Amino acid sequence: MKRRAFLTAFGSAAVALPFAAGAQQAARTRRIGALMLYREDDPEGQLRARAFREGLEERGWVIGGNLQIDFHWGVGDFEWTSSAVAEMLKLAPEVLLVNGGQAVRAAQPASRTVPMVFIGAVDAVTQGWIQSLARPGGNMTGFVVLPPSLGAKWLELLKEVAPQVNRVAVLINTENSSSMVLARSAAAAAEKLAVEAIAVHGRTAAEIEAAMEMLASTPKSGLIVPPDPVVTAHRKLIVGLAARYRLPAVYGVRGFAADGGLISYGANIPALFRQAAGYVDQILRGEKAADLPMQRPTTFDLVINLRAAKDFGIALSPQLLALANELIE
Amino acid sequence: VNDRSSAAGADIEVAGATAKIHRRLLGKYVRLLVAVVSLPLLAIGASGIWASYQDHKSALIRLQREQVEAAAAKIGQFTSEVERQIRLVTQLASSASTSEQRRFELRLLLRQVPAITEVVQVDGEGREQLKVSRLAIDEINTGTDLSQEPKFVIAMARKVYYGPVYFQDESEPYMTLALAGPRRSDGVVIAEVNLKFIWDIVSRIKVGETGRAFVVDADGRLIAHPNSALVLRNTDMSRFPQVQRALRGDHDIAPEPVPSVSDPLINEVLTSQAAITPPGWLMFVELPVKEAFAPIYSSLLVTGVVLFAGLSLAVFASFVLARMMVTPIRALQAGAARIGGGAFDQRINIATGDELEALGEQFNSMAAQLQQSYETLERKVDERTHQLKLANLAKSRFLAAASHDLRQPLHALGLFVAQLNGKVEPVEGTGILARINAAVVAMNELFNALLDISKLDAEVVKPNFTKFPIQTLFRRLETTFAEAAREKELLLRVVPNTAFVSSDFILLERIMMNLASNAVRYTDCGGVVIGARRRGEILRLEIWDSGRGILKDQLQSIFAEFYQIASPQGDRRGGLGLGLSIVERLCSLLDHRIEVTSIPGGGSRFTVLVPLASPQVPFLEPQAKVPAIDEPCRGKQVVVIEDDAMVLEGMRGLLLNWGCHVVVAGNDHAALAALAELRKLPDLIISDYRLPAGKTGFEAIAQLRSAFGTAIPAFLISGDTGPERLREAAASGFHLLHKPVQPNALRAMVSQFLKKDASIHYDVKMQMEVTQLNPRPSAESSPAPWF
Repeated sequence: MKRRAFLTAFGSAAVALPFAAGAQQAARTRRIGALMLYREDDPEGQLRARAFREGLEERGWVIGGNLQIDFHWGVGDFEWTSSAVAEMLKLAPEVLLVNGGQAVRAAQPASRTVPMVFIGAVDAVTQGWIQSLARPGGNMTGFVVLPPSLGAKWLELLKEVAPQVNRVAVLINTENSSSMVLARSAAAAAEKLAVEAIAVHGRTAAEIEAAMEMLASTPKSGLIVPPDPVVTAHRKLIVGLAARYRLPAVYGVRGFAADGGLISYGANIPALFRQAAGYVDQILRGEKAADLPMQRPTTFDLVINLRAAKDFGIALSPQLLALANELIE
Repeated sequence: VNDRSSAAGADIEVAGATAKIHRRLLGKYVRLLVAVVSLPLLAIGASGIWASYQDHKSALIRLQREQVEAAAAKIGQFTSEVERQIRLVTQLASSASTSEQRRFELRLLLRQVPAITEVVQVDGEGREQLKVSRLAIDEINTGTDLSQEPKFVIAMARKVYYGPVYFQDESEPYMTLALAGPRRSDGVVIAEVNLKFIWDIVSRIKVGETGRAFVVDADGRLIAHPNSALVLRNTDMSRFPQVQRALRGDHDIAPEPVPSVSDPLINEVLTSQAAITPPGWLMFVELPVKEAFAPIYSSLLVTGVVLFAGLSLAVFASFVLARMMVTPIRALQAGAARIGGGAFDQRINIATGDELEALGEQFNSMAAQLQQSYETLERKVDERTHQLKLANLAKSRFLAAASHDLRQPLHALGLFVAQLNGKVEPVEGTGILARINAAVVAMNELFNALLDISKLDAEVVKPNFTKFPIQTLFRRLETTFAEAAREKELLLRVVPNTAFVSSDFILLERIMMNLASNAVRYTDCGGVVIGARRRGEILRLEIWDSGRGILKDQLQSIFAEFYQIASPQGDRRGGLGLGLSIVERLCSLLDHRIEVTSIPGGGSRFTVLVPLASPQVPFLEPQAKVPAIDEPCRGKQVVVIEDDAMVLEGMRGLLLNWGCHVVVAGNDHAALAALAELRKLPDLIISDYRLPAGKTGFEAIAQLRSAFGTAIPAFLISGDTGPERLREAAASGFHLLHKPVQPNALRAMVSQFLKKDASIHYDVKMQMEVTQLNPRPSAESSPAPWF
């Protein structure tokens, strides 16, 4: 009797510890969705997805284990994005990650209940999608990729690299209101920097080609490309045309510089995906999106492609090179 | 061997008793052993837990203190680095000649210090000269007047200014850091520092698994926390007690767990804090109590399990040990109970190899001893019973022999009386009367001898030891047997001796007389020699004869009653066969050894060993007191009470012959009645001991004495020679004559009582002496009726 009791106590004590430790992970598999707005084979998209996954794994999730991520890849217009969001919601994700202003705009009306974490949408407050940066108040929160003032900063940078430029086109996806904001910011600073700034469509290859041709036809033209998934998807085309037409260009996404673009200045977007993983984790652990403040980027990297500069025949000042965070040979 | 059912009953009883006791003893032992083992175990366990708890707690406190100080140092390092970078710029900027160069320096600062979002160069007068931003267009020479701003004023005054933390767009924490150049004209560099960068530092600080490090500013507002959302929400931390206490300047570790700042779900955290200088912030580290003490809890669990295991083991071991101790004790108890119940063949089997086993062995040997004693006892009882049976048999033999020997003279008597009936001639009649008398004497001798044996067996005879010269005794022997020896033509020689011995004269004389009588009787030719030899303290009295001798195998039997060695003639005239029986009994009474050696056909030697005594002077030879027969009886009134009519008539005839008046009665009442008729006071009462209706002679005498109101002289006559009767009579104080009483003995007794002088003591022993001292009946004793 005593011996049995003792064995039971001993045995249960021995069994209890690993059981208690395993109990949390042995619970149900959590499911989230990620709308990427990139082609699946796009390295830039993969870079972001990997950062997101790693961010979750750093916080203890096991993807394919206790967490399932439904990635939705693809490039399309607003309608396509809206239908993609609807499809994703059918999978009943606990959290939905959306990427880029166009996707945020498509996702926002799709659900009032499914928490969404977005990356992009500098104008989330002005659009009324969230109540304030500190307390979003609804089912959405996220990370701003760039502050609006960066449009002016690009223009300043472009003028520094190519002082002769007096006409600058901002290649935007009009479906992305953030890009519009940035374009306006650039336009606002244009007079001060003695340039003319115009916004041009860049949603499709045709539009991009037309815009580039138009710029190439005008001397002393420059190009600014704010971050937008749809536009970024065509970055090789853009970089190639810029090289062909020797158009000095400043890009908002590092991927452009990496693919031969002259210079990029902007937030580290994969880092934002990593931070977004933190918010997803917090929501999965019970916090409400309404209480999670919308965050702004803190780090901005200046990346210069030296080969492109050489090809363009642009002599970069040693000071500028010294200020660069990354130089691509 | 044993009665099964009773043994089983005893078993059950024993088992019941032991079960009760066993339980008690076992429980006692178990409790004791458990206490002995468990209390130290518990004490050690508890003190171990307490000690490790204390150790762990102090280690925790130390660790947390180190953590928080390290964390504070890191944050301090961050701000110092920012400050150092800015100071570098202030120096370079002052030396830079062109604004373009200054702009580069400031941009480089932004490049170097990512936390700085915007930097402004202000000249000595407080005018903004250059503004470089990470996010917006740089501005040159705006000339904005900052001379009244605290950041300028304080920086100019103290060279360094750490502004309060503010939240840009009510969200991101910022701090203004302003540094003045070495010279006043160098102005001030003002940097806006995004404190979100402290997050990186803070979130990299590992505080256990779930612990948190966080930073609050001097007002208690949260600046950095791993959960940046808390910071961006601009949380006021001063409501938490630990923050309050820290803000008051108490930087010791909180003694008690407090609610967590980081997680409202965690109620208890251990927290410590350290100041971060220069900004004057506070670094906090908090660790949930649950996690902090988890090692303690797990060690507590382990200790508890071990303790429980130890206790269980202790209890089990105690039980086993106690059983080991109790079981043999129980076996001992049960065995002892069975031995006590009489089962002496019970053996206790204990094989513990210790003192208990030894005890069991002792119990066993005790039981064996008991068994042996018991068996010895039983054997003795059997032996004794056997002996008694033999004695009884001997008695029967004795009685048969006695009755045979009595028949002989009786038969002779009958023949003589028949002759008397026919023959009345005086000569013939006288011869027949002489033979009748001889037969009566023979019978009398036999009865007296029997009586003596009875007395000796009843231990009525008490020896009276005196010291006397042996020569006295020898002389009497010589006197006594000289005539008889002469008649048989034997040589009787008594060797004179001067030694004194210690003995009873009369009884020793009796022994010697009997032996001498035998010697004379059984010697047909040759002689008898009586003498004494000294052997140390012993005088050996020896009687030698040249008689027939005794065969070796008969030497032991000669002392038995009625034993006579068969004579070649087969006649038994010489003796009765009781002499040596009496000798043996007297010797053992006197504690004198008797020895006999004999050569068949060559003679015998009887030796009595008597202790020597120192010579005594003077020695008075006891004299046989034979009362003078005068006429004290004449005219005296004698009452005789006797239930046997024939004896009564004989007594009456004798007493009347002696001149007495006689009243005879069958009992005391008849006597009283007769006396009442005569109206005469009797002078003597002679009563039979045993009277009708269970009365005794004592009672009859007492009755008459009380009736006459005076102590009338009285004595008893009894035919009863049982040892019991003899003792009773001796105790009563009355004199007692044993039937058959010889007329002369009766006359002596009566005369003595009727004489006025009653001083002569006439006791039972004397009577014996009177009858026995004469081996041959005296010729002058008159024939008397035998009764």
